[in-house]
Amino acid sequence: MIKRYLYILIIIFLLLAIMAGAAACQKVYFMPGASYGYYIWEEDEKVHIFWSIDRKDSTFSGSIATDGIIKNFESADWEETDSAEVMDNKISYSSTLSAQDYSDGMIIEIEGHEYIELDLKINDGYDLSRVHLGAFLENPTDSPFRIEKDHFNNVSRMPWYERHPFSGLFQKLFYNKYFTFLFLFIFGAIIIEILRINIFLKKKRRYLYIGTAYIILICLEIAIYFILRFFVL
Amino acid sequence: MDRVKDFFNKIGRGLLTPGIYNDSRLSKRFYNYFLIGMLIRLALLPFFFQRDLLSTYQRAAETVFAGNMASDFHQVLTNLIHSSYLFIIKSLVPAVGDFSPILLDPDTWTSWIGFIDSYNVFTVLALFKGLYLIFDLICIFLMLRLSFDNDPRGRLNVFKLWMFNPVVIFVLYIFARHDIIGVCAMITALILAKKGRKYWAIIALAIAIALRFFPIMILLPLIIYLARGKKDYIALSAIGISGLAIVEVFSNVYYGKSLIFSLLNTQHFNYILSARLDLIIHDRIFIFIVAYFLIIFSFMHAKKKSFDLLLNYGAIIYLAYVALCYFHPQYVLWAIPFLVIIFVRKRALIYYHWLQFGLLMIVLIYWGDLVTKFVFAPIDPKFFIYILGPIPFIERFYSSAAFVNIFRSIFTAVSLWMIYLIYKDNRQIMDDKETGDQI
Repeated sequence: MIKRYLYILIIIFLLLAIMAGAAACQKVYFMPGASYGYYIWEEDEKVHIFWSIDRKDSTFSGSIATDGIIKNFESADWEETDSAEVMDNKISYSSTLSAQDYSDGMIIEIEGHEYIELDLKINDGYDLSRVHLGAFLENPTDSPFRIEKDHFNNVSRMPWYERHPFSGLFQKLFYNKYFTFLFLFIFGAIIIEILRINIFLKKKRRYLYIGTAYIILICLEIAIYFILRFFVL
Repeated sequence: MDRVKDFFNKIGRGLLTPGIYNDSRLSKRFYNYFLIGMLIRLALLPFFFQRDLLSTYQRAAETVFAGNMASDFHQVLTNLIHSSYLFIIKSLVPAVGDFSPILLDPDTWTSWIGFIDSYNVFTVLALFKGLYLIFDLICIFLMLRLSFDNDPRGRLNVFKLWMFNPVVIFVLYIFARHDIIGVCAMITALILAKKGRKYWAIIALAIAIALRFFPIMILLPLIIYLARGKKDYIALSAIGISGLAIVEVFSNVYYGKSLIFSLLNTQHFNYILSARLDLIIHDRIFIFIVAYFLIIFSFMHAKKKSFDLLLNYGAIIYLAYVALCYFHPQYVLWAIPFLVIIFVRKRALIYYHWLQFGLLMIVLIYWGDLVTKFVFAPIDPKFFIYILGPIPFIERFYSSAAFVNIFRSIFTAVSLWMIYLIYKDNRQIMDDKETGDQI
């Protein structure tokens, strides 16, 4: 019996560790030659803009403009066919990737700016779902789009439940209120039933335990409702 | 009051079988397994599905919303069941009716996006998969009666092994495929065969075949098991043939085309012929057909054809199919009713089954995003559509086809080894039977 509980505890601990790890995650994860799209993040006050393709011929082009001054521009893994025109407050670029060339990128240092405006194209078109911002791969809603100065800090401060995929899950759960709370109630009732036949039945005040368990379940449901309503969404 | 108590006792005995119901410890364990199994099933019910579930209900919606009875020509019965169920849930839950534009959208991609992106997707998914939960529960209680007549502990173990079977949980509650309906009809046929109702057994199996093609594989062993003489062989074959003839006549009259020839030309039938040995010019040997008839001959020549032996041969046939032929992950479900009975006698096989399941999860990669990351898409479509899939990830380092096929080969090896272990169990069953007869 103890062994079984130990297994359950280990599983819960691992799940919590994964969730905590996901919440603390700061860097962008993408795999050159496998991931497809733009990946943008900030590190040491420098903006990193990288693009990768799943080993197919593609062109990445566009521009990055700012109200500040571009202090430093660094290209990463560029080839002869790739080009960039760097001005004081704007960079225009064009780069090709292929089955042999998995990924290119640029690292930019900007001073005195309030925003950066990005106009990022893939094969001369826009695919916002392929533009990933920050560690949690948020997608912009418009193109060209602006990133405010503290955008990445704000993103990193965002709690885990506001990020993909949790945000999507919680939104749907809240929208399906009747389903969610009925589902949770049935789920909870089954757990209480398992507790009843294995633990509560052995106790003298079994009805008190069962009643308390159901009160806890209802309180939990109310708490979940308020958490979803006022904190998460 | 006593009458009410008697009534519920009768129901309890009827559902759990008297052996388990009358033993308080066994019935408590039964209830525990049932609750934990239900908890797992419920936890998975609203969140995951494979695209084919939507296609199944899109065909049902064609029947319910557009009155098109020929929307699923190959699986008329399956479509009728889904259509009736859709009609009921649509009448009870208004949210389902709101999905009619999505379900009637003929574009595969936009209808899928529309479905996973809709806010009510969890409710509708839980309801859609609820049908499979119903058939799963029917199967569970039927399985209790399939073997171990004088051994309630054995029956309870069958129940436990079905309740926590990874393939059952995966196929029904993550993948969400409808094979369980056909499996349910097949188990009914087996129970009828066990009870000696030979004609009803063949009719039930014919229904199972009409629901899904795969039960046809146990038609021959079932006839061999049930027939007591030449007369029976003729009668049972005639039932089977007349069943096929009725279906064929009906499809020709109603749809104006042949069902049997159209089924023979579908890719599903070609899967059976996928493993072959090319000899010269047009001469080739289909490996599964060879293996299948070797298995049938082996069963024909078994001295004592007990019911447990029939179940063992059923497991051997389905394991041979997944070992030697191209298959879809859900087809493994057809072996489970036979395997769980054998697991109770041969515990070692359970570990091979879990290994088989683990390998199946890798072999899954074969079918790409549709059966891997897209299964999770209802949770957050954007995230799961654009997240890195397993194929590009593997391709970055090694050929994904070669990678998957290595594990596919191990899967085949495990399945063939399981067949060997079951064959060894056959001998034990026959020996026990002979000893039993002597007593």
